[in-house]
Formats: sequence, structure tokens, C-alpha cells
Amino acid sequence: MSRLGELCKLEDGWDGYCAPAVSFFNATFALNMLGSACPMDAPAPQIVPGPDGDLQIEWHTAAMDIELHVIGPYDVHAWRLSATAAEDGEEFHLTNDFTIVAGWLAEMSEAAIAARSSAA
Amino acid sequence: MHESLTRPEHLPDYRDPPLNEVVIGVQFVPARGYQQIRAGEVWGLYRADFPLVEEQPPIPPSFETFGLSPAGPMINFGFVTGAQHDRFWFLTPSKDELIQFQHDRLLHNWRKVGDQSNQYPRFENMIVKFDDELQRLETYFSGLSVQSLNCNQAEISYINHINIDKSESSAVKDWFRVLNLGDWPIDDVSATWRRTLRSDHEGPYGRLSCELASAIDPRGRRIFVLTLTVRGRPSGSSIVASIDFLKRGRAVIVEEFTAITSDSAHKIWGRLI
Repeated sequence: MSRLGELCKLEDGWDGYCAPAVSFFNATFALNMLGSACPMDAPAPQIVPGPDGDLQIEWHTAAMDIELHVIGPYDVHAWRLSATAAEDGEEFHLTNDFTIVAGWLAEMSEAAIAARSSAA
Repeated sequence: MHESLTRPEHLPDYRDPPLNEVVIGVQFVPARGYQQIRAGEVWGLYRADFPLVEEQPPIPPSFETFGLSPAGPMINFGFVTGAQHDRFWFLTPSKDELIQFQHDRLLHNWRKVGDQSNQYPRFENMIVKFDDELQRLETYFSGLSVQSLNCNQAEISYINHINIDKSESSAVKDWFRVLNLGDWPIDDVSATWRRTLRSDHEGPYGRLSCELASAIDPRGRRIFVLTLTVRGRPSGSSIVASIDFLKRGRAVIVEEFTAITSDSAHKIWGRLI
């Protein structure tokens, strides 16, 4: 939440051009989306501002890459690359239902636990 | 538009429902070119019927999203960023109806006031008025910049005050068929439940929230406050889509109200259908 707050407070032109801060509307939506998609044991994502007040939320592990591009409220491009996915990964346009992402994150968490178990 | 003047035949109806307040509202993307200094121009759209004004703190943005179950609580930042925008209440002289406006929301309330004898104008009348109020706002915003109202969330709430002071029973089960707390008198009750609303072709489209609490009303009477709210994403960003969502939400609320309250309570409220 604090990271999203920081991105809302960016100064206009933070990218050296004329990008605005992440819009408060988009950040609030992203927060709700994460509440619906992130299991308690999911790793913390990286959150990156976009050039149009949008934002990108990313998880990168050895087993999987997940990227959610929050273009606006109810307008999210979701992409995943994993060992089981096609070469270019799998992608969906999502609005209010993030069950797919919750499933991806659960798989990511399980893979991380399995990797730790086999290393121990 | 006139279609909305007709109450759906299948919906349960009551001669004297325990309604205390009804709120219908839409959240939209802040309009380009609008600044708070123009709030007086927005009041001018409605001032003939709503000549009184009050300032209130803004309502934060809200979104209904789905995925993990059980759903987490609705989350909001504890701060706002950028320029601060107040919420304005534009009220009728009797204050029984009001329009709430802020840079990303428009709502219309009806509520009981004074001796509580003012009659509920009924949803069919409220929704026609609200449609017109949204159209006026869209026309105003389109004069600031080429744009339509970009609606992303709609909500409808029915707040019922169920007077149990002079009734034969104050037992919860005698009023609510979904709650049986036995025959013992209880000091107070508080319950909340939510469920996802789905359709075959859309998947989840909204959420119904039910809140029940015991309370004392301003006249010192013991009451149950039952608040039913449907909130969610309309099927499109237009005013038409939002009005459709509100009609659908109203039907869900009336059916839920009838399903969770008891037959004996229905008799007291004069159930017609």
C-alpha cells in the first residue's frame, strides 16, 4: 500500500518527459484488485508506474513471471509466463474478476514452497 | 426512459415498507476540465429544485473486485492525493431529497425527515429523476471538454428502520427468517453478510451487502436497522448502462429483503404481492 501511495505522489514529469503521477483512481482500483487476487502467502510484487497514470504490477520467480498492467479501473491486461504456458506466455483482458490471477499466484507460492523443501 | 415508470410485476411490494432512506449513485472518471471552483456551476444544474447546499468530506473511490473467497474487506487508502474535492449536498427545502455531488460521483437520496410521515416516492420516480440529473451533468461536462460521462461503478442502498418498540415481539427470529437467536431477549444484534451477484454471460457483476444492527432512533424507539446495498460495475460506461445496473440492483434488494424477513413482518408492512 505504501508503494502505491508513493506512486500517487510522484511529481509530473517524473520520467524526465511529461508522465503524470499514478492516478489515485487507478491506485485504489489496484489495491482492491490485489485484495481479490493475492493469497496471504503470495510474494510481494514489484509495482512500477507507467507513462499515462497507469501502473504495472509484477512478480518474477524462477518458476513463473506474472505481469498485470492496470490501464484503468476494470481495465487490466494480465500476462503469465511459466513452464506450462506457451512460448509467448498466456494473456487475458480482465475487468472485475481476478480468479485467474489468484490461481497463478497460488501456483507461484506452491512452486516456491516446493523449491525450498527440495533444497532443505 | 418511460419503461422505468413501470414496476416489474414479479417484484414483491409493500403498502407500508419500513424504508427510512434510499440512495442511488454512480461513480465516474473525473471529468477533464472540471475543477472544484466550478462546483457552483454544477449546483446551478439542480438549484431550482435543490436550493439548499451543504459541504461534506468526499467519499473515497470504491471498486467491487472478485477472485479469492471469502472476499477481503473493501480497501481504501487512508489519504487522498492531488487537489482536494469536497462533496456537496444540494437539498430540497424540506431536506427529504438531496443530490450528492463530488468530482467523481453523483448520488440521489430520499430519506424520512421530521415526523417521519413523508412518503417514499418509489424507485420508479427516483430513477427517472436520477437519469435526468446524470444527463444534465454529462451535458455540462461535455461543455468543458469533448467527453461523455465515463461511469465505472453504480450502487443502490435501501436503509430500513424496523420499529420493534410497540411490537409484540422483539425477538430477532420473529422479524428475520434467516436469524434464529432463540426466544431469549437479547440486548443487541449486529450481523453483516455479503454475496457475489453473478449472471450466466457476465460472471460476477456486483456484490450484495446486508447489514443488520439494533439501534435507538432519534425518537428513542428501539429499532433494527437493515441496510441492503448492491454495488458493482455496470455493463458499460454509459448512463444507460448505469441506470440498468441500478434497476437490476433494486430488484435484487427487494427480493433479498423479502427472502430474509419473516411472513409475520410482511403482514405488518402490508405485503401486496
